[in-house]
Amino acid sequence: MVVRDEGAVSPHRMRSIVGESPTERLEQITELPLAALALRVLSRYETFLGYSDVSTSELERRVLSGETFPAPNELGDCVFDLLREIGTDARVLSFFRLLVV
Amino acid sequence: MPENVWSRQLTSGLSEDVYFSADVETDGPIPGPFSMLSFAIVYAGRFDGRGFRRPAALDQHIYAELKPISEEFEPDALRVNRLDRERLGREGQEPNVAMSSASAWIRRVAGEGRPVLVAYPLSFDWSWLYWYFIQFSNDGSPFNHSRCYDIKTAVAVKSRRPIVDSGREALPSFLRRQDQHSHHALDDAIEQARSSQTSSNGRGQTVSFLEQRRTETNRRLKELPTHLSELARLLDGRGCLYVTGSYGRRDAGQNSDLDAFVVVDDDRDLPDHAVIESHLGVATKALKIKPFKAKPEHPVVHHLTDLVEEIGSEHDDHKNTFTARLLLLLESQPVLGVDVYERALARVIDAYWLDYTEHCRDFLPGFLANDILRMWRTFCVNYEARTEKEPDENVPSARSKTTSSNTADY
Repeated sequence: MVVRDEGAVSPHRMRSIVGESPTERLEQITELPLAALALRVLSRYETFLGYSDVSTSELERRVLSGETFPAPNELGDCVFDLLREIGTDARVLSFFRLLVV
Repeated sequence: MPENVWSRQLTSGLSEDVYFSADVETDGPIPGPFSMLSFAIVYAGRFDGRGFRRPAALDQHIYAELKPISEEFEPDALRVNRLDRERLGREGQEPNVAMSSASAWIRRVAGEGRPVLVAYPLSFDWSWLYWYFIQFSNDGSPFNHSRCYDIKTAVAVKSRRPIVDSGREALPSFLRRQDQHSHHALDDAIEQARSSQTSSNGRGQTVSFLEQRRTETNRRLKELPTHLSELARLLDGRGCLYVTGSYGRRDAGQNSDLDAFVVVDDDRDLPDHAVIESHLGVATKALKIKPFKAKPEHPVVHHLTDLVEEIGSEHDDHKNTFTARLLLLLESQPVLGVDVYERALARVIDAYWLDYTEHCRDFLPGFLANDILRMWRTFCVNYEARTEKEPDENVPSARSKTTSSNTADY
């Protein structure tokens, strides 16, 4: 979004991005439809956090018993949907290409 | 001051909104001369100024069909809602019964919170329901004279659109119903409730959950240095300690372990790895955090010059400077030596932005993007290789028990 809006990423801008946690970076997105897509990522991530907040042995037991994380690809799918929505903007297409090719 | 800190200060001690999504079907444009023929009200969630709590399902609702209160009607309105006015004249509820019953239900569901009417757009539904509550309900309007929330305005503000371009079609597709707007009051009220859960605070339940994690993680991180005073003396002026992983992302849970790196900004010998691990072991035990356990083959103590100079080198990965540097940028929180931490960030960013001065108008961080992609893919490959070689650890292989894409996703 910085590339799209500002045409370049300055070191100063990068420092401010680094100062936020990954979820805070998503919460900075307020324009629709990107905000809605970011919300979906946060929601799936929240589900993942809840599922994985168990001891290592319990997590292993769950996975080995086939009790895997519900809809395991959804989080990745949502992240990709968000990237694609931003990346297909003509101003960022070349940068998006770098990420996916 | 960060917005969330500011808003928390403003909202402390506030009472609670209890949202009710509503929809009405009528036989004309204004109440009084014309009649409200049906309405539905759905409980949609609560907001206390800090987090929005949605119900597990949108299954608490009321629906009523009413006797008309006048002889006037507009045929076009009836064609839209397809309600049989004559039938309602015979079978519809008396307005005072329906409105008194609705008011009592709303107050009961709201409990100690304050009911707020939500609609998309609000203006039409509010004017009808408010008028009918005042006119017919035994205890007046449960929404008082002004407790209401317009989703259309919320969409306009959040998406930075003009009001006139903020109708339902402005919602992203997954928030819209796939079928047509039915003009059945209950269907439409539920649809609006779904929209309001997202638009009311823009984050729904997620903020509340993540905020809890952040608050708890911040509390532990704030306390951590008090148990690391000896390590602080050891690093004083020359190094920093930063955490990564879930503590770096500030969403650690009860079962999260502590991942940390030490970076030293001078030419002297690095502090001993075992000493660092010992100090962190004492601190994590005191805070009841899962202990720090680094593997010797993945050193966590580095010179800052190595973090910078190994970028792109053949040693970057196996010396672990690659991971230390990338996690510093992507998900880190300083615990000791904030000055050195800031210097480390600045020097690493400068190294990736080497060509910036000559391309400040169109600089894209391609080098960094490639390194980030490389890191996550290396993690996946390393995990896969480890689980293939060490089956006795009971760590599930990405290929055997889950799909490869699971591993890639996480």
